[in-house]
Amino acid sequence: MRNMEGFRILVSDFMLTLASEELIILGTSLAAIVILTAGFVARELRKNSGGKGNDK
Amino acid sequence: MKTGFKKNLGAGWLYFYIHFITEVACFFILSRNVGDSVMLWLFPLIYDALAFVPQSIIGYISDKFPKINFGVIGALLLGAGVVFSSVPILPGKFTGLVILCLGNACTHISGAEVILRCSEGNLSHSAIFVGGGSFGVICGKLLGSTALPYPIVAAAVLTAIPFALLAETYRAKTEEKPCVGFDYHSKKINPAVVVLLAVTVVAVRGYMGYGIPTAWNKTVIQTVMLYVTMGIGKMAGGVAADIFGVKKTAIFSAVAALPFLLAGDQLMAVSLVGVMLFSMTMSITLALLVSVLKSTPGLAFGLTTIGLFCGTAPIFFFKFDSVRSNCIIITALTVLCIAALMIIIRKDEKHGRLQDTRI
Repeated sequence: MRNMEGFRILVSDFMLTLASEELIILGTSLAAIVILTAGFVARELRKNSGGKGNDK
Repeated sequence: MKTGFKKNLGAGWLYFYIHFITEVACFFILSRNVGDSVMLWLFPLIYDALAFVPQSIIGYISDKFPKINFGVIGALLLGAGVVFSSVPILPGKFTGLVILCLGNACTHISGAEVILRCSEGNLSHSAIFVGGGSFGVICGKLLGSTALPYPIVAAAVLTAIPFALLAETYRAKTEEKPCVGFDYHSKKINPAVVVLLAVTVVAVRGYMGYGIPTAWNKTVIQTVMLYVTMGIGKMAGGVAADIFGVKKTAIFSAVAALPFLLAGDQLMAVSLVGVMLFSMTMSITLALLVSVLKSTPGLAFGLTTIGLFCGTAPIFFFKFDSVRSNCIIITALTVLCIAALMIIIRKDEKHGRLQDTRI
């Protein structure tokens, strides 16, 4: 029971923090950077394999 | 033994210092700020996110615009970050930290560009570069708990500028050619799979780094020993990979570290051997990513830092308290890492160095 209570506090604390403005901005920016990076990596790999993606 | 791995090693040592002073500044500010209970985990989380994740984009910009000296920019941003953290004249409570993080990212990327381009496929250079960070982390943490004034730290950071300018001469010699000599990935595996598995290994190692049972670590001296061992392990990993071969070093260090890590919860000496072996694979995953992204080493380095963030981020929300479950998780993750490394690393040549023609 004590563990469950602790878990509930942890979850509610986490949800409150997650909703904070700073973390929303941070999460969105990070997601955008990761997507952009994946795009760059795909482009470079395609270029290395001799396919399309050359910027010249 | 691999010959010629000492060539351009000076660049590694220059960036050893720059990396060291970068981490000193960052961890000085972190340890000064995490005393507040609200900041206890939010401040390090924002630091990890903003110092690690944007490195891929900064790295790609650095790859495409090599004339921009990110080493100098990074040192200036770090100095400004330290000053603005002490004098909150800018709006927003995290502005100083954001500037500090960007400075950190810039110096790391600059180091990766210089080191990877001039190392000619050797790992010792990047291992020396990354090793400097561990010494800086503990030094910054210790200084943060003293009454050292912020301007002294800001001034110390600016001493990195001549080092960055000097290191740039090594990069100028390479004429922006792709990173020659990095051919450590298996040619039978699709490069995209190599990237995915290498980033997964970095992420798993990042998570494991926080989960290592170290109940023995109670005093300042013991913490210093832990970080110094990590630094030595990272450096030794690159040198061992150059001497004995990448695959042998990666598999040996991952397998041998496990029993020491599991048995070393209460025994410092045993645990430190495990930590050192565990840290040895750090430069190997970087070399694997550079092998498939030879013309964009900055982007390759940024991928390792994204992996590191993905591995460390869950720690802020979720951690195993029981040593037993932690040991099970560490064992399972080590097996996963070994399997991934065995798949993506090419077979070593007899003398450690790999030949371009071999599959």
